[in-house]
Amino acid sequence: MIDIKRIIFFFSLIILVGCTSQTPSGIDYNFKQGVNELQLSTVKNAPPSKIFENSEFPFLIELHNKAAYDLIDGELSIIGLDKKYFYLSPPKENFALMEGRSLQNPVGDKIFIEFQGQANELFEGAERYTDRYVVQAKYSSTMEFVDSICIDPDVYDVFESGCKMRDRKSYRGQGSPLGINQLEQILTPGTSPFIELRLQLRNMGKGELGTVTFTDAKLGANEISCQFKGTVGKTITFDKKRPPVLICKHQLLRNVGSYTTTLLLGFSFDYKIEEIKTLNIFS
Amino acid sequence: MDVDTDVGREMLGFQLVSSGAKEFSEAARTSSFLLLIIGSIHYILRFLGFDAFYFVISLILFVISGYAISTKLEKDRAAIFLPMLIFVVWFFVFQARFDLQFLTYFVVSIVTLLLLPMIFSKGESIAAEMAGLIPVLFLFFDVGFVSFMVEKMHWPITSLVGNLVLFMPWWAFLGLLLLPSSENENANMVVGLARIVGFLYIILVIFIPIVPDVGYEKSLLPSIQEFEEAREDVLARLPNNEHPFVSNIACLLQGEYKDPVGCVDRRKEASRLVNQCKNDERVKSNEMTLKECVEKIKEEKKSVGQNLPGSYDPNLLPTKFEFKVDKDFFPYKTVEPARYTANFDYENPRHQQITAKFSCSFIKDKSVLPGKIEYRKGSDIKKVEAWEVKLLDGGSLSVICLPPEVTMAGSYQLSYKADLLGLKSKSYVTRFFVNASDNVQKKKISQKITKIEGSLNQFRETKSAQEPARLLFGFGHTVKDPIIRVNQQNELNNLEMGLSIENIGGGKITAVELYQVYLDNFAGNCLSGSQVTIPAKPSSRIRVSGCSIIGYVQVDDDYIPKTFDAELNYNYQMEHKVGITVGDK
Repeated sequence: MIDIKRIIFFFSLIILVGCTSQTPSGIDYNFKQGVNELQLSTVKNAPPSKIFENSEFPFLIELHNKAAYDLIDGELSIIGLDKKYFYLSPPKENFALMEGRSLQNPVGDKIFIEFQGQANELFEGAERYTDRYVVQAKYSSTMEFVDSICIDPDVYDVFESGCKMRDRKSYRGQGSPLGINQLEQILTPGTSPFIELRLQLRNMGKGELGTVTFTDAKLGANEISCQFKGTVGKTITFDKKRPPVLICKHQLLRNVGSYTTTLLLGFSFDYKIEEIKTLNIFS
Repeated sequence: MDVDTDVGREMLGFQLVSSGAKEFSEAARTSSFLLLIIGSIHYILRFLGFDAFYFVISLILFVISGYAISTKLEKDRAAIFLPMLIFVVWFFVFQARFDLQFLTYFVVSIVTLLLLPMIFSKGESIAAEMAGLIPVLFLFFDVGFVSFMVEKMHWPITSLVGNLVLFMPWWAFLGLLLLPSSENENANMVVGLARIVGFLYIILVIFIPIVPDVGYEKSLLPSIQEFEEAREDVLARLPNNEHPFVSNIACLLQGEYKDPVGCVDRRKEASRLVNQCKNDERVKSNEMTLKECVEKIKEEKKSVGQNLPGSYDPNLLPTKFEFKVDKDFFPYKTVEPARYTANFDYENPRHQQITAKFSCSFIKDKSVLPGKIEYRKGSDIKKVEAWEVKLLDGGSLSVICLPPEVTMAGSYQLSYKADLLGLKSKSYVTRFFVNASDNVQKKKISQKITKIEGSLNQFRETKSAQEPARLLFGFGHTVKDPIIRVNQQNELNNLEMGLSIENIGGGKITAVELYQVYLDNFAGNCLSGSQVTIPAKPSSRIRVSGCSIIGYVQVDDDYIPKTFDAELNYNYQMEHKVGITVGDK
């Protein structure tokens, strides 16, 4: 019995340790999953926790692109500081490109943006003043949705032994704040069968989505026509109360058995993310 | 007394003691006792803030608890350790991943692993494997369950959650539960008693404080913004209050049976103030004592609470004046008229150039007899009708009033007066200039400002230090509306400005030399004025005419906050009356 126990324990260790060594190596890690976005943080002591009146102070923001896509046309601004007490120069800074996480750059780009801070005089008789402000980053980025789906144009063929079509699939994100969380497949059989794909888009990040444009839509090697529900163009303004649904339709061939193909959709979007912080002046 | 009986009793006592000592030494060797002791030390260290080896000790206790459970339940040790190992791998190596893709293969793996011992032991290992989940549960509680639920499942931090994070010695409690029973009744009694104490502790720590807010309807604490590291952050978000166990016991001992929750809250608040003061720079630099700091904060809170909400800024040092008479020495009743001494206490933290003119008079019915003020100038003693003195940073003056050289008899009202000249008070308002094309956008940005700055109501009122008098002002689309929407040209037309002078010092405003509102880039004909007519009838408000103002504020972002100052130059009179009696009747 003791030997069996040892064997079981040994087995357990091998299986569990085997599991552990797989993910951190990151060789086949898919960055385009889950929800990741730009992270904003202040650097320790810049600004310092205690700033004295009529003094200058360093102000450094760290930007870390944890998304799986590049960010472009970025603008970083500090909003909400009362100029009577604090002044930051320059008021805004641009950042052109930040690479997203990939096999070549598994961490994602990290940059630091520096502002020069000036603390002014406190209100007469005040010992301290606390101001709350917002670090805001605006940028444009992209998102790509790729999945293998099963299409079965002849659903009435009960002897079909190919793949099985799923009416609905759920997703946890594509490595970006904009994500597709559900795909519905509606097949219309008949003499000219066609498939309708309904994709629910969600803001899965902490920030705000502006405009969302779909740039690319392919089923296998074929371009497919898509449009947002209730609109005509390719671009919509994201409304979180009524998240958009992208509807793609594609004509299928008759008398073809079930097959698995790749659905690829590309999007571009504008995004705004904010972090609330505080600054303190002491006399 | 029978000697044999005494010896017998002594022998029995010795046997009990030695058997107790033996039990103790045996108990000490058991892993449950070790768990109890190390768990308690671990908890105390954590409570005192020594977190350096927190995880290491937790893991050691986790392993010890596995041994303790296998000993207590007399189950297969390997089967108990298997789920523990699986948990460690999932929690620490995979960082508690729970996505479907991962769980699919991980759950399949662990089910296979758990089935193997069951197959080999013909099902006997099931109970042992289930028992192996107990240390898992306790480790989960100890290292991160609450933080995990707060961060991943967005639990609000209630009293219950806070107490679970801060005040539960999980390992020590498990050790207590696992203590072996012994043949010695005394040892069993001690262990049983300890268990009862343990359960009482849980009830006192966890359940009593949550009575007022059962469930999770309370929102998050206001000052919370981000998690750096889940557990540390949750701890940082909780005020460093008195231990609830101590609070509850103290309240019970004080006989607060009718309002135990209120008592605990009061003790918590007192403890919070002490902790706040411990971190106060003025206390750290010995500028004030801990007690003074606590009293100051209490006083500030009280003064804010008694007046208009949000109208006093507790961060601003107040200018104060007050007459006081010493009840032990003041000659309330004398045969002959005496020297009547009052104290004038003042605080002038902003170093204003204030001149005080002291005078006194004796009032009987409608007749007023002017007294004289005695003061010392060098070696000379002067007696004047009005004593003029510059008030520096702060202090106390003796104001000595001498009666007139006339025959006095009967009861009088002795009136001390201080005419304070050259007072200045400063006040401010904050307005948010919003870049919004319509009211919908204005509302959206207003919500954003509320999220960042807190309730907008706090910006409706003028704020200042607690001064005898101040200029109240407000402006906007309506005078108290803190949100001002600018048009695309950043121009602002027809904003309404309201002004009034407020008197809250308990005295009289005798003159208003000047008032001035400093509004950059704004124009209006009411922003300054001088020689305001003082109404004959004393009032807490002197109305000043408002006006429409126009201006320009550059708003590039969603909004910008701007604070505007105002100044009031005025003279003020403080009066203090004391009843005196002269004569032997």
